[in-house]
Amino acid sequence: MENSFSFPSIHNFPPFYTLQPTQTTWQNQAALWSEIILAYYRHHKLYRLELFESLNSELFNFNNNQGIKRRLRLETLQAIIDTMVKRGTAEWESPPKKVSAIIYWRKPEEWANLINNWILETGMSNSIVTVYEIAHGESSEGFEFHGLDQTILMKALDILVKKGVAQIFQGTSTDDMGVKFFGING
Amino acid sequence: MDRFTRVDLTSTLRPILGEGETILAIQDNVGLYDGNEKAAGYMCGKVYLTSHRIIYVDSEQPNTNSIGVEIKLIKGREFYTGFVKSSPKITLKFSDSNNNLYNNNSSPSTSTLSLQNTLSSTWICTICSYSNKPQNIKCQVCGVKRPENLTSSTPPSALSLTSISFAAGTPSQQTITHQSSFNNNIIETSIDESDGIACPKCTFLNHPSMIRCELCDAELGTFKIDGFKNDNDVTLGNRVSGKSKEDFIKLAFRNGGVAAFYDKMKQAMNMKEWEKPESTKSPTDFDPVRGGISGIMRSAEKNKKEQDEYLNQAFKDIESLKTITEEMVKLAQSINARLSKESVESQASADEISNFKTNLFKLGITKDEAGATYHQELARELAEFLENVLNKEDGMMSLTDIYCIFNRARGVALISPNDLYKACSLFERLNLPFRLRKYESGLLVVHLLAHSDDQIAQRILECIQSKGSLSAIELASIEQKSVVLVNEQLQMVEDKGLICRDESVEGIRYYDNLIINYVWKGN
Repeated sequence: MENSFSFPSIHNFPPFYTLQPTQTTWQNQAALWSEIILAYYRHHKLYRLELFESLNSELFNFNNNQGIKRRLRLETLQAIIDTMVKRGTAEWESPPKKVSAIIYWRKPEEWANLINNWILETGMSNSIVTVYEIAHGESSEGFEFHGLDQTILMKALDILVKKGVAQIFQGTSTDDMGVKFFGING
Repeated sequence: MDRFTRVDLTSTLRPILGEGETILAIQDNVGLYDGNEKAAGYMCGKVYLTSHRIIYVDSEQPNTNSIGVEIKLIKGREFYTGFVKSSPKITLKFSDSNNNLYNNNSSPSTSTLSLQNTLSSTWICTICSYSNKPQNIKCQVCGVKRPENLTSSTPPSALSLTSISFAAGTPSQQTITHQSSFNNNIIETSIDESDGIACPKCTFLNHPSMIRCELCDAELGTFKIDGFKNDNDVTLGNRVSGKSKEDFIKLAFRNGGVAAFYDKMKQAMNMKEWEKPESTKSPTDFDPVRGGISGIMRSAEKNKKEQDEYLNQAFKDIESLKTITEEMVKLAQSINARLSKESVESQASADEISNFKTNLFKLGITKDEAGATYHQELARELAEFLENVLNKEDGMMSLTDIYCIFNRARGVALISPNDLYKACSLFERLNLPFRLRKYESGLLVVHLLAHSDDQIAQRILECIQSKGSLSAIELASIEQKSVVLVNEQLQMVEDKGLICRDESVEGIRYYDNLIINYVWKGN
């Protein structure tokens, strides 16, 4: 694993783990939390946030040497992700249940652009690539979207299809799905 | 009207009472009539009936148009129940037309009056030369009886002052004229401009602008100076200008309450509270045994007996307790003084007690006295009380705390929480410098008008910054305030976004608000 993520100092501030009743304070608190979540997910190339599990992770816990322990409460985390959903940086996976969310540290449009650029650069226009190849193929290694979550990948591809830049051919499974790029700069 | 004197008011526009004076009744919306005509400037105000005086406090210009008259000057009264638009009235007669007042021995108060008149100045003991108060029959220092020639032998028109001053050798160029105007003596001393005024006691020549002798502090009898006031002596007061044609005035009661007021006035006139200091010390012949140390011991013993008697009397039944309240309060005061001397309590709490005591015995407006204006009067009284208390308490105090200390200060005639609440809600209407405030949680507090949230917020913030974090209880113990109040104040500061909270199993702690302005530059 890469070098560990370094949290900002506010992450060690006990009141940061309490939902602040004052509106102005809360707005900045939620914004700071979403920044930290996005940076953390980008750093570790994570895409999914399972609320119950991640509450135990270092991201939402704080333990200082003076014996002060704080952990974000589920409701607070849900409220934070709600504000992220409003900004378009997250999405509940199966609303109205708030147990799992997709974190967009890049928006689907950005992913779509990155993929399209990769096709253009590698000269794979007008040829068919499988979805598996894009996310896990040898040719995409080293690119940011390598290892991209499939749900996000499909959303990005949908955007490209709508733009008329690509076409999807159904296969037996999602991994077998073929995508034909027309080599147009979206 | 010229019998009225100006009355000094407290900051909350209540009259300042003399020693031993108590308020018996209060009625608002009362107008004064000089004779049969309305008196300009005294058309609408509040009338206080005290044991000694009838005081009018104007509602529009209380500081200039507030006047009072001694009940003892009132010779007659009449009651008019009112008819159609004419409001009920009480007529106070001063019977000036009767020039034979002094010879009128049938009048119950004549003897006192003549005594007062002849003794409007202090008398000097022939043995020890101590200047005694006029009401003293014996010398305060040596116990020698007042010489006869100073009392009875003096004709009413000639004052004892004359005999004293001439006997003491007043320079002859000074003429003292006595205007024996009815029962009040306005003494005017003709002033020799070059020499100043000779003191009637010690003959020291004072500067013409002096009111009291520079050497012996005796009154000089120069009453030409404007604004000179003397609350204690009727004859020297600041007269209300304007000779009246009539020798009576009327009080018009536009807001009712006339019957109760009249009853109370009758009582007051019969009680003759102003005679009491004299009546308690019965004039006995001088007895040589009474002088000296044995005399002092004797009187101490006598005092002790009297106190015992008072206590026994007082606790027999509630009625008698009421009538001798004043004595009981004095007794309590002296016991308190003794106790606090002996107490081994810390300096701080002793201070607190003495502070408390100064506020203690002035209070005690009751429903009976004030009637309809009870809550207003209570509000004023409360405001006077809070002036001393609230500054210590940082300008804010919860209503329950006030209820507690206020009733503790009153000692007797406790007020109900509801009365306190009503009185406090009148602060704004009466223009008093306090406000009742209700927090969202329902907590009621009283705070100074000048009090500001920002100031409190700043102080709490500094406190939290210096300590890192604080819980409400910790802050309450630092600030010596009640936890509920501190909670409210913390909430207020939090609402301003100055502090933030940390909820954990240990409760809520407050921190400086680092969140609101935190900017993270990213990794």
